Amino acid sequence: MYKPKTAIISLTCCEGCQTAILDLGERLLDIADKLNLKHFRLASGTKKFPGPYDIAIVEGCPITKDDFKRLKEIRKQSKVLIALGSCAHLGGVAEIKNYGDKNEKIKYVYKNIEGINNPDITPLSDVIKVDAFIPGCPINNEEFYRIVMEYAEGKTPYIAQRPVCYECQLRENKCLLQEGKPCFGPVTLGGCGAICTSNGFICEACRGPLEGTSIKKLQEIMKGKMDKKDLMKIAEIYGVKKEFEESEEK
Amino acid sequence: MKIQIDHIAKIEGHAGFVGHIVKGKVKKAQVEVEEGARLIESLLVGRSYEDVPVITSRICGICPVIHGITSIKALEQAFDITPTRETVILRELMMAGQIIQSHVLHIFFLSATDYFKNRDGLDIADEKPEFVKKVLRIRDFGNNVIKLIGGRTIHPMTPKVGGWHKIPSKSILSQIEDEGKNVLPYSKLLVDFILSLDIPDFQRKTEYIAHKPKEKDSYSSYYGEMHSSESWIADEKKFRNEIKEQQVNGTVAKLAKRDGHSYATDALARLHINKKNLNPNAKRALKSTGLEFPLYNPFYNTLAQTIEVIHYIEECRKLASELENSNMKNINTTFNVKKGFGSALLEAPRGVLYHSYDINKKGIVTRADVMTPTAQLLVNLNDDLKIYLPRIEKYNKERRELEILKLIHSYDPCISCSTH
Repeated sequence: MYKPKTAIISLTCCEGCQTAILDLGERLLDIADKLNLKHFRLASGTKKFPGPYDIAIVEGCPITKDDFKRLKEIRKQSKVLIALGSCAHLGGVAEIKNYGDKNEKIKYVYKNIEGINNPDITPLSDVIKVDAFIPGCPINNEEFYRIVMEYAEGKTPYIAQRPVCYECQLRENKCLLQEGKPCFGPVTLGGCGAICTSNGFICEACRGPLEGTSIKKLQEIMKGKMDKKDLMKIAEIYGVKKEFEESEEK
Repeated sequence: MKIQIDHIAKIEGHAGFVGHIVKGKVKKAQVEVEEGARLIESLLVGRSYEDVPVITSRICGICPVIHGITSIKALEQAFDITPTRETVILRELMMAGQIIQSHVLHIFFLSATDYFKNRDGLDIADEKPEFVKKVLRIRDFGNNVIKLIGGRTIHPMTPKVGGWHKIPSKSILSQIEDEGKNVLPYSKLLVDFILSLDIPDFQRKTEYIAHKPKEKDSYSSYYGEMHSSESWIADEKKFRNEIKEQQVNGTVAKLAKRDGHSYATDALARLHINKKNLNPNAKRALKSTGLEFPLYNPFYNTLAQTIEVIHYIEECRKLASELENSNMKNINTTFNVKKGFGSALLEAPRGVLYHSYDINKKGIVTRADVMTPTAQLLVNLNDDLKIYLPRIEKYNKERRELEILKLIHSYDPCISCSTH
């Protein structure tokens, strides 16, 4: 049977998406076998597994010079490159700094900023070609399992373009928007099982905008309840403000 | 002789090691952080207090629970909120679940694997499938406690200032008690497993600092203050004033010292300060190891974690049964947003964590300060490495690197936390 040689690689981030993969427990052993998993820093030893890879799964965002170097190198060595989680897919929480003065922000944390890299935070796709993404902060490990197993079977998986509201309604949750809360469910890509809204927490768009939708839709719903500026401030959290601003023109 | 290890595997985040020995004298021995700066504290300034636990939990994917809860505890102090007893117990349950899952990950996958010829957790799983399945069941229990209360294991979303976005149903309590009972016997296997390893004989005296519960008979709790093996006692304010964080040029991890020296803050430190209050099975397991305290061998931190895994499984059952008499309704606290300052100290899996915030009258953060366990433990680790290096100089390159990694791994550093 065909076993794609796979690596899971991490740039700067919280590594929660790698941990979500580990949380698959016994099924991780299944993935490791079917995907011929050769490089997984949290679970594997110090053996060196050089490329090329059939599949490289990359979490985090490039911040250090070494992050950029490794990212470009991994791209060269991989047939398929998958961006894993909000940081790789959209920029993630670190992108909040782009919406303020990043020089001021670095000085807030460090007295001596010499030698510390402070680039703008961007999705991986701004730096290299990305073939697919597995969204979320953290990823939904069930979705991860489905997608990588489909790759192992030689298929090309996709994520259905449905809003978070679709799954939220299936779970018969009370609508948080109707309670006047700024929930991004209608304009956000579903597939998360509406996990936040099912737990009483608004959707803050960690999976990124639903294709073909416009943020105007949400701005309209929230009219008189929250001004546009505050609404867009929520979109900063996972680095989706820029994407939503672009959708406004649609 | 120069020793350089790039991209250390099996730690959370990215780091390397650099050592330099000249004629038997160690000129340099330190862990070098290779993680990028995410500037999390600065990202909080100018944002609503409601965003704080959302963003701080994302400091770390292995210990998100404790970052979220420590920030909430600090914010509640700023707003003069006293959470209900139910809320405190549920938070303690989540913290216990977090320590169990983080410890088991570290004990088995990150640390113990160094002692096997084939240093790969996935390969060992092939060799000892039944044992590894039991290990994973313990970890699943910890994860499940977090999920039942927090909504999910990584970046749980239900905890908020004043209580919960969604109050967990009472039915979770019997589930926690039952599952805890099932995995408790497995946790003893972990102790035996670590004891069977050839743990290096190495000693260096250090100071142990851990959070000591306000309740005299508890090992861990939401309320308490810091106690040290050198009779130093500190509340939040004194702790932050006397622990000095220093930035070494060009590095993104700050390093913390007390009174100019390094100290230990980890499972071993907690055992030193609170071991007489361990739960019964954990206490018996510790006695069976024959270890004597004070114990100044950092390699035993992994063993200390196995004792804590037993303790916290027992603790989960105890806390869940304490809630049986509550109807679990109306446990949220109402409050008014106001200008204020709040700080909090709690034990994370790897040691003590400090958060503090200034909030303005609109509920916007005007100052944020986070000091992580790894910012503290890296200094102690570097001091150990300086003493340890000459002893392993005689080995060949591969063996030497392995011995260095064993010491680094025994500390369980979290580089993502250290740079936040």
